[in-house]
Amino acid sequence: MNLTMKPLIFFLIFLIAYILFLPNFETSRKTIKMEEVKGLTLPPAIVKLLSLEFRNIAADLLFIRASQFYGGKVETIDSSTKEDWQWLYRNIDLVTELDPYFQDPYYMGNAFLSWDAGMVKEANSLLKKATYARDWDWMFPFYLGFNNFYFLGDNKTGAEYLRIASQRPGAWDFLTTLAARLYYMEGKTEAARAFMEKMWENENDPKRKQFYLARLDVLNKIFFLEKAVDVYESRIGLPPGELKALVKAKIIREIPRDPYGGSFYIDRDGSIKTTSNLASKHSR
Amino acid sequence: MRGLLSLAYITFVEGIRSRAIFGIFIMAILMFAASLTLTNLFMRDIVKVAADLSLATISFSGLLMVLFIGNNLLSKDIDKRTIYMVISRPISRAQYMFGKFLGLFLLIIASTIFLGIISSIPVYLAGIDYENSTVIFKWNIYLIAIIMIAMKLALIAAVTIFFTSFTSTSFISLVLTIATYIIGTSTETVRGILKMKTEGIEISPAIEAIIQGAYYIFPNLSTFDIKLQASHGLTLPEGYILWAITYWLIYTGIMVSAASIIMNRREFP
Repeated sequence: MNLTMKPLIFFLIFLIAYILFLPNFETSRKTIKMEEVKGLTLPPAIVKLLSLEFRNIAADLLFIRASQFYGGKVETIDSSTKEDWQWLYRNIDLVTELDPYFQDPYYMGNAFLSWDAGMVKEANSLLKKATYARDWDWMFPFYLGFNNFYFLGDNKTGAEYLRIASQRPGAWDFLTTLAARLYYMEGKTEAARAFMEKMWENENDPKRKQFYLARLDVLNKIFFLEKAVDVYESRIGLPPGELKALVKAKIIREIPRDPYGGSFYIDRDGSIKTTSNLASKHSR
Repeated sequence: MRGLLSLAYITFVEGIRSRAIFGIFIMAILMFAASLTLTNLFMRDIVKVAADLSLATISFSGLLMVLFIGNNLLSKDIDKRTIYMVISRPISRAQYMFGKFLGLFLLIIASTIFLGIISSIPVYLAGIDYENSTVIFKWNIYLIAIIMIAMKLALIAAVTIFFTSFTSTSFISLVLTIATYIIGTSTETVRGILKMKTEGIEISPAIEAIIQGAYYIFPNLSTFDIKLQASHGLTLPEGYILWAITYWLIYTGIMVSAASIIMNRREFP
């Protein structure tokens, strides 16, 4: 055999073997890293040390990792467990420890944790960090105000955060009046509609824009039903026991459909609610 | 004086001509190109991510350059025993050390300017692509951040000079420089963690003293790390730049003059 051919033959043998066995290596790797679960999040202090001067990049990469949750899980939000949400919270908390001025993780954390996971307390702790770090940005105290008002029913704290937001540059003019309105607890649905409309207007991401639109739609329907209940009361003199009574009295043609898949009902205190609670059913 | 300048010039040209520098530049350009695709994964802070990647690339490739090319340029004469040729010339050893440093400094400046210009392209493109009133980005702070990176690299070069003055092989000085870099970037973080004083965890006073000592002995490289401020367009506190320059001058001065002293006393077998 030609001497120069020998290395070539060896090279080809090794190359073919490499291609043949590559899947086996992969499966063998999987058996060892199977337990590297999503639950693994390093403490911020350790990541800060490990990333040396490349802390920003570490934050960016960790955020990409966290947003895989957004890309992969948002379609099947129903199947996310409490642990999944906890993981998301811990990761976003870590990212914002590394780079406290980074906007994206705060937005994502707030959107998912408050609406879908029902973890308003955690969402608010992220928003508080954002309000403190980004002291020129009015959006985060605005969201914080909304969460306090809408999810926690704490109008005073909500109004206080809206006041902080209204004092920062670029804030919408209507915030001051909105804060005043909230303070006296007037027209919860109407205020929520105003909130949601502005959030929808301000959103650039088409996916989230769609979310806001759906929520706005439900709030519009609730507002519509509330008005109908008012009409019913002024006509009959008694509050309607159930929504069907409104149709019977020919005030409305039909009960609107909840785009989230729930159904509207009148709560004991007379307010209109939906069984979906403006989020996917299974996540709460 | 003429000898010093020509030595600096020779060192600079030698650095520019070395093949490794092309590899580092190609890597840097690839990373800038990657930043164009990576920024698509973000929603709002796109300019911030582009700036993060650009600054990190400048810093990282500069670091590779100083560690490998710089270290090689400095210790080559001793490694290859061409130092005998140099010390027989009418140039003092202190001048020799300073000339070497100056040459490396020029190399750092030239490559930082080159990388800085290329790096601003993805940042600029990300900026015109997306507009948001809550995103602040200021080119002047970005520029200061790049200058600070060059200063940091020059300081590391000075540390390398110091180590080459007493080590016999370039590998040892390389290892020592890398160790200094790692310690220098983390002392501030470690001190911060110690100050937090987590409950139930006792830190022995000896360790605390060691860390405090390390903080004074090793260069505090975090001083020159304003990448976070640059990518968010945050203004620096008044006087910060002035103090950073002062710190840099003093520390670099100590390193280069100490290297000259050691070199003067060194005996070549």
